[in-house]
Amino acid sequence: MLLREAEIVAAAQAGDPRARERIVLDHQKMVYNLALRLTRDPHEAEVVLQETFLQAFRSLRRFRSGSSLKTWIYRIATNEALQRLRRRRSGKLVDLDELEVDPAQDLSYAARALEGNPHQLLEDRELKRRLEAAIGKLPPKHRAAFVLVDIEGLALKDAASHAGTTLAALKSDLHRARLFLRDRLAAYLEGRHRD
Amino acid sequence: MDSKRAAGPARREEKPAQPERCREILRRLCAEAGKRESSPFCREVASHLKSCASCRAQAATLRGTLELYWCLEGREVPRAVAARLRKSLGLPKIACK
Repeated sequence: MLLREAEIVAAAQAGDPRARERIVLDHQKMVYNLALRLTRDPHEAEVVLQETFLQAFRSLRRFRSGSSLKTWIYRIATNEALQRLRRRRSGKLVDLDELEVDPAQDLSYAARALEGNPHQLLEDRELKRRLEAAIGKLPPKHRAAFVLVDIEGLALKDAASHAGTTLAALKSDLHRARLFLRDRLAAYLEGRHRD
Repeated sequence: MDSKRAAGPARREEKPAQPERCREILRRLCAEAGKRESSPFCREVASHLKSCASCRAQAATLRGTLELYWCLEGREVPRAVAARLRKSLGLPKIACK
């Protein structure tokens, strides 16, 4: 933990509102985006944002110096978002447990289309919208695996720990999530090419 | 796998389709990402990809998909959301500049 962060935490533990404010300002974007990616719902993301900081400040006295404040807040936010994600019922999710690679699938056009600069590709608003929407179709465990590993950049072991699952199960969920998202994207690129 | 339909120019003679082999390679490629390039696993995958256009397309599209998701930028916290957060935490309002 950096000295400055240690000072901020110590002040916040003593009840200094400016220190608490600093903690919120430094971490709110991270928490909000994580919550938005996991829940795919702005209202739920706001609830996660509030609950995360309320819980963090309630238990700040238990925070051990030497740990990373960001990691600690991140864990609280992940737990909160995943709990909400699991509780929510939606009929629009796909079943990915049987999803496998189709060796006969022709991905030649999609492969060529994806050779370009990803930032340029993302100038296509419809593509961007579809990428976002596709994550929303993933069942909770697959979404958690994909968001934590491929977007948030957690190591597989850490992601499994955050998601409360085994490493083997997380790898399987991640694999299926990636295939599903890739297939959605490939279908869109093929369709755009044909039109 | 149908290598006739696969992506990109053939770099060398393509081997006949081996669906089960390709499926296993790809499953491991996806699930075990993050291994060192010098590991036996990665050498095995690289060797297979050189001779299998279909798996090259599978790998390229997976990598391309992940790159697009990495490049999606995070959003700023909307002002109203940030204001309600501060209120819920009992923090003072921020004065507009």
